[in-house]
Amino acid sequence: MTARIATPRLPLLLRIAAAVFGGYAFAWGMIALAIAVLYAAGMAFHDAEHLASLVALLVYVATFCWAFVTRSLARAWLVLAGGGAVMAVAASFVQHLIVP
Amino acid sequence: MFQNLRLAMAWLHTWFGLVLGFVLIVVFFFGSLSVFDREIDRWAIPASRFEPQPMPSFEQVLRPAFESMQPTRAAIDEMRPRVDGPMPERFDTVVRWGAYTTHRDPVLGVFAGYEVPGAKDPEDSIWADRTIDPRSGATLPDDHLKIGSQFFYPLHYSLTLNWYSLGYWIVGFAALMMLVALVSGVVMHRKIFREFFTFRPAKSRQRSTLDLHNLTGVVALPFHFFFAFTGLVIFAGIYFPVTHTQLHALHDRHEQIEAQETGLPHDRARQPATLASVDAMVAEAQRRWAAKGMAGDVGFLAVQHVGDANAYVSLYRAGTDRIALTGEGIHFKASTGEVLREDPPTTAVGSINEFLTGLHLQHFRHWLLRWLYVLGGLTGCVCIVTGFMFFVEKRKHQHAKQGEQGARVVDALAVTTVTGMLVAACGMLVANRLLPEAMPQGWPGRGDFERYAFWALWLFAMLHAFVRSAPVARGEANPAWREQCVAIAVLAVAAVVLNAATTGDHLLNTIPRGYWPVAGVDLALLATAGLALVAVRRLARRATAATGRVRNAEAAHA
Repeated sequence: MTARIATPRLPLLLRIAAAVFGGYAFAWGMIALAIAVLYAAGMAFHDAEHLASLVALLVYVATFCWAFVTRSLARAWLVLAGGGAVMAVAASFVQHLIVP
Repeated sequence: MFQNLRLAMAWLHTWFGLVLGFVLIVVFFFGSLSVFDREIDRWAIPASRFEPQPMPSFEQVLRPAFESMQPTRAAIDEMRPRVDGPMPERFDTVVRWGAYTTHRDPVLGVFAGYEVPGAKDPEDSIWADRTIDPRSGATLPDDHLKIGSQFFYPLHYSLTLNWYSLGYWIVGFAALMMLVALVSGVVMHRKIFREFFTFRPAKSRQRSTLDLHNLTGVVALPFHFFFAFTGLVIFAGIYFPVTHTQLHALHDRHEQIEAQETGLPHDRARQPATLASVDAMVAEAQRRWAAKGMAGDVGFLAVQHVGDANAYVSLYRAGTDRIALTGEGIHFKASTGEVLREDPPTTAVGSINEFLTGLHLQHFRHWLLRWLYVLGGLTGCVCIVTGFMFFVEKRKHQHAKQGEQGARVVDALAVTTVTGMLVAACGMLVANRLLPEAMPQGWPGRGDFERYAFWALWLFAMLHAFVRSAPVARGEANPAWREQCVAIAVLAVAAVVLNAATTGDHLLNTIPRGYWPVAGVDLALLATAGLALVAVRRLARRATAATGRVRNAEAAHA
C-alpha cells in the first residue's frame, strides 16, 4: 500500500507539525472553550471536563488525518493553530466573565 | 501533496504505524500482562502468596502502620527543588492517609501525604508508600518489586520514563497514532468485510503476512479502538492540563463551591482534634450500603487533614460488582464519626466516563472477560508484528538490490521489540528468583536489580539483533529471530524451574490446590516456551530451505 512519493522534505515536515502541534492546539482550545461554556451553562465542573476531553480527543484523531488530506498546507495551519487560538481566547474570556 | 485520499492514508498508516508501532507493541504487550498484574506480583513476592484479604481494621492494623510512616530519602531529594529554603527531616502534618485494595490483593498498599513547609505550590505534598500484610500489619520489605503492578503496569502507560512525564506523552502520542492507524487502515482497504474472512497461509509470505495483519486488525478493531481511546481519556488531564493552567481560576472557584456544597473542608482548621473510631464508621458505611442492597467491601479508605478539627474520613465501596472503579462514597467527620455526606448518584456524563475508564482498568470480578482482554491485547501485538514483517518483506529484496539498509534496520528493531521484549520479561522473572532475599548493606535494592536485569537483557537483545542482521541486507532472514526464540524458551522454563526450587510452589502443588495466581503464571511461561520452540522449528526449516535454494542456484551457475 505504500507508494514511494517523491515529496520535498520541508512541506512534509510542516504538514506533520500541523497535524501534531496544530491538532494539539485545536484540541486544547476546544477543551478549554467547551469546559468554560458548559460550566457557564450550569453543567457540573468535572462533567464539563470529561465531556470536553472525550469529544476533543476524537476530534484530534480526525484533524490529524485531515491535515494530511487537505490540499493547502496554509489552510491546515490556519484552521488548526488559528482555530485553536481563537477558541482558547474565547475560553479565557468566558472564564473572565465568571471569575472577574 | 498526496494524489488522493487513499494514498494520503496509506502514507500515514505506513510511516506513523511503523515508527509508533515500536512503542505500541510495548504498550499492548505489557497492557496484556497488566490484566494479571496482581497475580504476577504474587509470583514475584512469595511472601504475598496467600488469599486476597478485605480491608483490615483501622484501629488495629492501619493506624499503627500510618503513624510509623515517613517519606523515603529518595522522595525527600526529589521534593527538594520544589521547596524554598531547607527541607525538614521529619514530616508531621499529614494531609492524607489512604489505603486501597481490590478483590485480587493479598497484601495492602498504604500511602501517606504530608504538608511541606515552604513548598512553592502550597497544595504540593510529599508522599510515603508501604506494603503491609493486612492480617498482621507486618511491613513487607520495600525494595521487593511488585513486578506486575509496579513494573509491567507502569511500562504499559509510561514506559517508566518519568522525566517530565516523558513516557506518558510518548505512550499518549502512540495511542493517538493507533487510532489514526485504525482510521487510515480502514480507509485504505475498501474491501474490509471480505478481509474479515481472508487468510491465505499457503500464499507467499508477504501475502499471508498482510492477510494476518488485516485479519487481526479488523477482527479486534472495536477492541483496539476502545482501548487506545479510553487510555487517552484516562490520562486526558495529563495530556491537556487545561484546568490547571489556562482555566486555573475556574478550577479554584469550582473547588471552593464544591467544598461548601459537600461540607467537606478544603483546608485545615489549624486546630488539633482527636480521631474517633474509624472501624465504627466502616460498620456504619457497610450498613448503609447493605440497606441499598450492595456488596459492602471497602475498596478505598482515606483520612483527610489528619489530626485537625477539619479532618474527615472517606470510605468507598470496592469495585468488584460493577465497572466503575470505586463508588458510593460516604464521608464522616473524623473527630465525631457523624456522617457529613453521602455521594449523590453519578450524573449521565459521570457514568459514561466511569464506564469508559472502568472498562479499561477493569477492577471488577469477571475472569472470562479478563482472559478476553489478554486475547485482545495479544491480537493487537500480532497485528503490529505482522505490520513490521510486511514492511520488511515488501522492501527487503528491493533494498538488497539497491544496497539500502532500511529493511535491515526495521527488521532488527522488530526483533528487539518482539522477541527481545520477551527475553527481557522472562529474564526479569529469572532474576527475581535468583537474587537473594535481602541485598547487602549499601547496595541498590532488590527491585532495582530486577529492573537492571530487564533493561540489560533488552539492550543485549537489541545489540544481538543488529549484529546478526547482515543477511537481511541480502534479502534473507535475520537469524536473531530464531536465536532469541531459543533464549525465550530457555528463560521461561528456567523461571518455572527456579520458582519450584526456591518456593516449592511447583505445578503439581499449585494446580491440585487450585492456587491459580501462581499456577497461571507458571503455565503461561510454559506456553510461551512451547510457542517459542514451535517458532524455532519453523524458522529453522525455512532457513534450511532457503540455503538449499541458494545452493541449487549456485550449482546451476557452476
